[in-house]
Amino acid sequence: MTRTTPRLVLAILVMALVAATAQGAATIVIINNDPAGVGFNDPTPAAPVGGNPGTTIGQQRLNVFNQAASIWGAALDSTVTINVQATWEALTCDASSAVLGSCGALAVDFDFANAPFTSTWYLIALANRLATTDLDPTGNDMRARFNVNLGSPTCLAGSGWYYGFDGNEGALIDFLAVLLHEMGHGLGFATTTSGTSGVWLSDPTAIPPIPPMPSAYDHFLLDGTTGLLWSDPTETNPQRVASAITGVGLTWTGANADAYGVANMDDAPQLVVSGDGAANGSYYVGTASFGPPLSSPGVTAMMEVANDGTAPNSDACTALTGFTAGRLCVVDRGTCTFVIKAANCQTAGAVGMIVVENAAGVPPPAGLGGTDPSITIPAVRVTLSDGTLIKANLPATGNLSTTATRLAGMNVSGRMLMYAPSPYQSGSSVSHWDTSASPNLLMEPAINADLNHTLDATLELFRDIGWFVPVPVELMFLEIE
Amino acid sequence: MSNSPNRFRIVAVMACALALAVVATATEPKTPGAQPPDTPQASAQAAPRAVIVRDAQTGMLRLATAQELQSMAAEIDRLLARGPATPKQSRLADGSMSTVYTGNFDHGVLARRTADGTIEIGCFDEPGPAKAFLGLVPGSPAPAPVKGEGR
Repeated sequence: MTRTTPRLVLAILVMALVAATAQGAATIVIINNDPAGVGFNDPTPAAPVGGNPGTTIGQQRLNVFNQAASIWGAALDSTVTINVQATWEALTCDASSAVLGSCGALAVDFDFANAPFTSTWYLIALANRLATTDLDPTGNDMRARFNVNLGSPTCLAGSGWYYGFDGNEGALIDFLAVLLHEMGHGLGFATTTSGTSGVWLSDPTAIPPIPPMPSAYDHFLLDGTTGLLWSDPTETNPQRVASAITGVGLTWTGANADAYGVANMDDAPQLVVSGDGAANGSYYVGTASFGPPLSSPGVTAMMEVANDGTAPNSDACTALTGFTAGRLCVVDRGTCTFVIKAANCQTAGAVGMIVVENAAGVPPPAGLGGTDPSITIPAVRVTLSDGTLIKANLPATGNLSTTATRLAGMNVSGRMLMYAPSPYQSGSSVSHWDTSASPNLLMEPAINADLNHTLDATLELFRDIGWFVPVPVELMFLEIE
Repeated sequence: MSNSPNRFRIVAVMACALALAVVATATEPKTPGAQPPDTPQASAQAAPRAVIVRDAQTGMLRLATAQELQSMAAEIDRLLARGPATPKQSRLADGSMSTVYTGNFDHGVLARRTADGTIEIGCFDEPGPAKAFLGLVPGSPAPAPVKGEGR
């Protein structure tokens, strides 16, 4: 019988540590909870599509789940298996809309072994990872439910799931992109704090009651108005609620995600106003999906409010009258599409278009949707308050350009913007990146068509909340005969 | 008697070294004209949205009935309604007891067809915005957590 030498033991030790802290991988298991013949078990024949080799609808569905599990599993780091219970169900539908599905953690925990923050809720998959044990051995970690009827005549007809892995979904909905996004929430990209009430999660029924506590996520959410984190006990519930509708006022303070943003986000679009009035300065703008992208130094010209001679005169929904060619066309939102406004401005000789939002809101404003390849002038949107101020201070010069002093989806301090629109009803706030991010990110509230199935800044946010911090490892010494 | 190698395990408990983010408290400089949040009022991101269903019996498109709208809204609540955490105890492999807290932490992903035929997809974590997105809140404009609507 021989024993491993001390030197070899040391080598095993070192290797074990490296494996636990740097190599990183996690096993994500998809648990098929569908009955026979349904969902994952649907035997309807299907041709392999976009790299998905399944030959039945059910196989293809399971393959997409496994593909998403593989992508997340390869990126994360956990010694504890992550179990995802999955079903296909008949969720709400009508002819032109549908609940595509839902996904999230099944449990949370706090003050477990190795928890980086005390008195803080962690989603169970991350809690297990940090504790290096399954804290809920009788339960699964995540739940995923998706709409089995999507694309049928009564359920968003013609827009069913695309089960390929290649992003060529066309008019269909890229299921892999949706699943990666939703699993991201279940793995940690979520707060357990209510954005509408500001109240921390608690368990008042427990004996003794579990008091309200912030989530791990909240330790990195900075309220720019108060200068306090959402996890700060001196930050009040109303202050959290207010920060969730401040636009650029709610940011991520995690060093890793912010560093990702600095390295990867595009220069930010802007409108720079210069003149004699009080409106001088740089403004947040939303960019258009039509026309040329903004650039540097961009387009500079005097601004002029459009007049189409038909009330409301400044909406540019019909041909403009008396517009001075060579100027930036300032129009109000409403009545017609943005591409119609842009076409009318362009026909009148405008060199760019500035759409003033028609409802109260906070910067950064949303973009301008629509398609028209004949549009050759740049177009942007500004908030109602900004647009009102600008119009009140004309004449002035406007410059539509990009700036390297701020990055798209980040604030001037180099922090990633969280989605915090006003009013809160405008979407799912807080647990997403802001929609001004460019390039588009996986965890924006809109699942954009150009996502390429990568984890982008999300993985760095996960690094911030603890997915890659070193944890104790169990070491095995072998006695070899 | 087995000839397999003797094995023994040593559990080494090592302290975690955590680098906590240093929180800067500087506030964001406002761009000129950037105003504090306005008084919340009805969003004009989009007009109120009619919910159209295909009648199961006739196959024809029609407006959803009040009962159908109510049923849809109830399902959104089922998927996304939050509640307090509930304790759940389990015995771990080492014999110790563990308590985790169960609850509904789901995010819902919804889709709707726009006037130009394209599909908008949005993700929601509370029922109110999700129901508004689908047009299930009478008189409420449909919000759009998207890059930019068409009008």
